[in-house]
Amino acid sequence: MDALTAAGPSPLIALVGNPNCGKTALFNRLTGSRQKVANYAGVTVERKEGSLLTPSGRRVRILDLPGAYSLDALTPDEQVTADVLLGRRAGESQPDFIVCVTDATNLRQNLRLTLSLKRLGLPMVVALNMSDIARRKGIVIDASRLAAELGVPVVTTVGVKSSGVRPLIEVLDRVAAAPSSVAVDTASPVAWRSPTAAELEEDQAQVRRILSAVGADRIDAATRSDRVDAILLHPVIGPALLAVILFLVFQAVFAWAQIPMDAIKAGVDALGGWLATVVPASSFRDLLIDGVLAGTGSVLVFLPQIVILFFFILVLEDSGYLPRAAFLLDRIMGSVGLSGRAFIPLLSSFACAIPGIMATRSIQNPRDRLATIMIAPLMTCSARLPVYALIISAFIPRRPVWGGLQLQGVVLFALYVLGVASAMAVAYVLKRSGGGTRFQTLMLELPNYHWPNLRTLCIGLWQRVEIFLTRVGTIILALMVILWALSSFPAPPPGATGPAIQYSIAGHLGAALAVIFRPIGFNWQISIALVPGLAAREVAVGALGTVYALSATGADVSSALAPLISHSWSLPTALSLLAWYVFAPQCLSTLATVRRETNSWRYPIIMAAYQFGLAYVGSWLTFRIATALLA
Amino acid sequence: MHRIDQILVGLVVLASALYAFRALAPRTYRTRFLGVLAAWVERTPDSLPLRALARRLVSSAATSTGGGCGGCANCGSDAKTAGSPKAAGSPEPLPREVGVRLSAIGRRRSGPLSGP
Repeated sequence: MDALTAAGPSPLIALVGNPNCGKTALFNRLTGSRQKVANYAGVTVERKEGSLLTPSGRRVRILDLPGAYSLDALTPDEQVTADVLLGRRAGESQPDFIVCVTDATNLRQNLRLTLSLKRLGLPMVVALNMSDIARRKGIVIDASRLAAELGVPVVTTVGVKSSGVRPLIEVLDRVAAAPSSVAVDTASPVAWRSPTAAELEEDQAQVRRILSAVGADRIDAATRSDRVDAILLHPVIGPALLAVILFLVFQAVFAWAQIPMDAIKAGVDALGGWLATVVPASSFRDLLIDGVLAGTGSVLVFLPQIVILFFFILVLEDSGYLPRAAFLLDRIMGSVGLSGRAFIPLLSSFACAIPGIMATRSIQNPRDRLATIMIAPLMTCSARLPVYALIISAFIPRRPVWGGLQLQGVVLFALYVLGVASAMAVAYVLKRSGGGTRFQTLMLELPNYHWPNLRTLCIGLWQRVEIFLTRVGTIILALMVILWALSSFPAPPPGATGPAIQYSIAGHLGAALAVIFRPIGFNWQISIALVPGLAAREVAVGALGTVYALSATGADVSSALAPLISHSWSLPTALSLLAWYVFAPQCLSTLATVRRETNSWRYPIIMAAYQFGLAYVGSWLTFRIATALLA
Repeated sequence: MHRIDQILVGLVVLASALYAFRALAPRTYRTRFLGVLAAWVERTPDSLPLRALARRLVSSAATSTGGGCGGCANCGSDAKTAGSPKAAGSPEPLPREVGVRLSAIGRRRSGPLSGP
């Protein structure tokens, strides 16, 4: 307890436990944070810190650590946990107190880690989390007996309910007030070392004995999740259902978003009209209307589609279906040399490649991890959705096909499939070039299914909206203002006949870039938009909005961008741009994350080079083939 | 009126350029640039109340903006801890990043690890 006393008034408390036992849900409840929670293992791959003011007014610092099966780390995320607990993490002191979070429905697996943690000799409490689910499943655990067996206090918790964490808060209050009130019945701590096979067997025997003592040694026959899995994991029905689910998601993105998109468009137009009347004609008014409003408005319009896409992703995450999808796709992933474990990082990349790349820390094999990092940016991130949606709405007719399906939704689905297929092809090449594609066995924990938690869903959706609006209001806005300035200055010479933008810095830059991009069908306006699009994908849409606003004479260009480009571009050009965005490198932040995760500039440079190469070749082929077919 | 218009536009463009640089430039360059800027501001006469700005520039150089990616703070790339009414800033500086050398990933350590 000396460490705790020395730590001063804010003891550091670590939440530790197996993956997917509800640590982050508890952390969010205790600290009021909104860290991502989902129903699969490996959501948290980094330490997170928050603080809690206990009922007696004392502050404790709380650490949420990545899930671990053992302190003998096999993956980078487990290494983070082991390093923090063993006090080996640079610049961070060892925790003063451990909350060992256990899944009450799966004590058999969770107790092994509990025994390991106890050996560290740190003060500890065991939180029997998900106790409501355990009760519903008829699992009754004698908590006081468990406390006696383990020699540490045990509290029952429900991380997703505010009332469910009260017992734990009471313990933490006592820890903050009088540390000696929570003691561990253990011998003096010993230097930690990897357990031998005999020690592991001994631990397992002890777990069996404890389970028997607390009445939790019953092994269920088929559960409801097992019965659902009989259908969803069926070798034929399972993959077919997965394809149908994903297909319907992309249909919904187009079918449900129209009304709110029209409303946002109308709002942007109304604001533009109002600004034109109240602000006197000046450069500042041009900046507001042609730069800020045309740029950000044309991106903002796609918010409903992003919300709908994330609604489905969050429902799939929270229900427990995602690891099943990984299981179903293991064979396909294995055929290109990846393990099914790569599926979840790749799926995270549909939201944003950065958390996807971070999530590869749960992959044990370094070569698999590197291959997954290198292909993650080929997954279609949400920032690409506005670009796809703009071009699809401009060039693909809104008509039903195949008995009521939306053609636009089918094309969007095809683009996502193209991204996945190209990622698989690149993975195959990477693994082949690096010494073969040995099939890896997949070991994956399948959580129980449950209905998505409404609070988690709402928080998740709100976070996506917040992130999107933050991007629109900060980096996209800033880039649009810069682009407007580059597109407006210097002013055209006296007697100039073309649009002013042609004589500006951006106009000259676009003309220079057009030489490179002309073979793939891009005009100078597209060439300009590609440059800020490197900072963040959706900026390209805003950039097109600004560039066309300055090229046109109309007032409400932001809403008219789709019809405008449908008249200005040929179909081969539009298809070529879609191909470009399937393959081209994502934002600079992604490359920076790859550099950090691989500790080397080599891989982000290789990634950028192969993606630019693929994008150029893919666009060139698309443009040439489409031109030949339409001739 | 025309001059005010030009100054206003100039300020907005300058602020946008600084924000974009702060959000997108690599941390090394960002820190160096903001450090130089802070030193320059520090040299201004005492009559100008710019010392506080200099201090803000220095602290701003050390923090990540999260502007480029939106900053959901789920990936651990952001220095900030979970923001919330209950959460408070940590009393000591925390490491921002985990750098695990690729060759070391997935390998068991051969010897015993140092314990508490």
